[in-house]
Amino acid sequence: MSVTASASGSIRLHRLTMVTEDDGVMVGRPDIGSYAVFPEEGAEALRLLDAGMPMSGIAAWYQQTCGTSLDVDDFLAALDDLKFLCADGEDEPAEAPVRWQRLGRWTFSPPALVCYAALTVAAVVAMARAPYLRPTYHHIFFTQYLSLIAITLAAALVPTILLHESFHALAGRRLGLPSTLAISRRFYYLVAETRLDSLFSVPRRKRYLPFLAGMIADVVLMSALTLIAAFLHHQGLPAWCAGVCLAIAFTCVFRLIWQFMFYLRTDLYFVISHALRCPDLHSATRFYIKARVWRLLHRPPPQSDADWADRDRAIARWYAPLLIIGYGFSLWSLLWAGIPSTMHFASLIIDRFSGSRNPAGGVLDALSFILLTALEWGLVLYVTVRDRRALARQAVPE
Amino acid sequence: MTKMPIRKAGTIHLTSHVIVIIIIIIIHRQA
Repeated sequence: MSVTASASGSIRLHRLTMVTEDDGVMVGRPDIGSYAVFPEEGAEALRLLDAGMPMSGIAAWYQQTCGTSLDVDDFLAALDDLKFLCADGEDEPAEAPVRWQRLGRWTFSPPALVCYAALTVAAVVAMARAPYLRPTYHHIFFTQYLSLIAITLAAALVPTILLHESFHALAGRRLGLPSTLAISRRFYYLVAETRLDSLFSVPRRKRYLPFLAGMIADVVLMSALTLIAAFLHHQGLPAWCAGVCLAIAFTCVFRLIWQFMFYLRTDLYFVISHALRCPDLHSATRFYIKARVWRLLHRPPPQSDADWADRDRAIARWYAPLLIIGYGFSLWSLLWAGIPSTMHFASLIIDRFSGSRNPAGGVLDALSFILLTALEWGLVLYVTVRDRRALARQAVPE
Repeated sequence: MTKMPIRKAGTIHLTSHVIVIIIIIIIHRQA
């Protein structure tokens, strides 16, 4: 249901949505992505407040209903912190229409879903008939020029990632939910991110399609590129034409595998945590691990402003080993493969530049490697600094 | 006097990994 701003009374609320959850009512502002779970009587207090009842009336109603007096100052401070309160003289901003709703409805309409399924089945059949279409990392090397591979795939990355993220966004838009696109990181991985906190404004069962929409996009794109590659192959065109399609298709496989690294809060993490009915499993588990480590170090228990659901706390005990193994795997792969390989390649580049015979292709390979590596790590550094500054700003009271 | 138990929600940030190809090329070259 939706609570609209009150026209009278000293306390006015922004436009809020309310969705019943297992352990209370999820109340929030989809326009700014601010949400919290209130007990049922808290949600009712908000409804009464919105209907124009003064705070003294709310306090009396609470006393009568719950048999205890409400800490009104704390309640109002919580509402202010969540940015639910309209400031004096502040008008409720006009409800901006969420764009691309119609496109979202078309993208996930039953005929469209049937088309996606047909495309996927056709690609699987084509792969079964023609082994050269089956995904393998050899597809990446569609040409002998490494710099050309790196530049082509880097260029293809932008539209393919935008397709993945736009499917998330459109799955939300069809429900009238706003979203934003951002660059972020998970551990040391650079990621594109669709921020869809507004999904808390719809019932749990309606959240799964937006979670899975990005993977649907990857499967559809991979299927389409595989079929195009098969078509181009049969047209007798140069091998690299089909090769480029298969190389880009293989990047989709990588993106799908990435989603299984659920400990990095990938799309599948949200599917699993929602299925387990855990609202914030990752944070609760991190805090659980921190508390255990501190106890081992004989330090006093860590303090946190966050208050996790009982379900999160219960599952965190089981999820903690998986989280540790997952992060361990990522760290191991960085130390075992990432850094040594990069160092090895860097030494090759130095040799190439310092040698007397420098073929143009070799120099181009080296330059493209340097540029792309610097771009990736530069962006990781930028995102890290940006996020730390944002956290520091939040920590300073206004 | 009772404080109302209000629990802030987590976030829903759906992701896609950006750069994966370079490592494959590096490993391939190293091999």
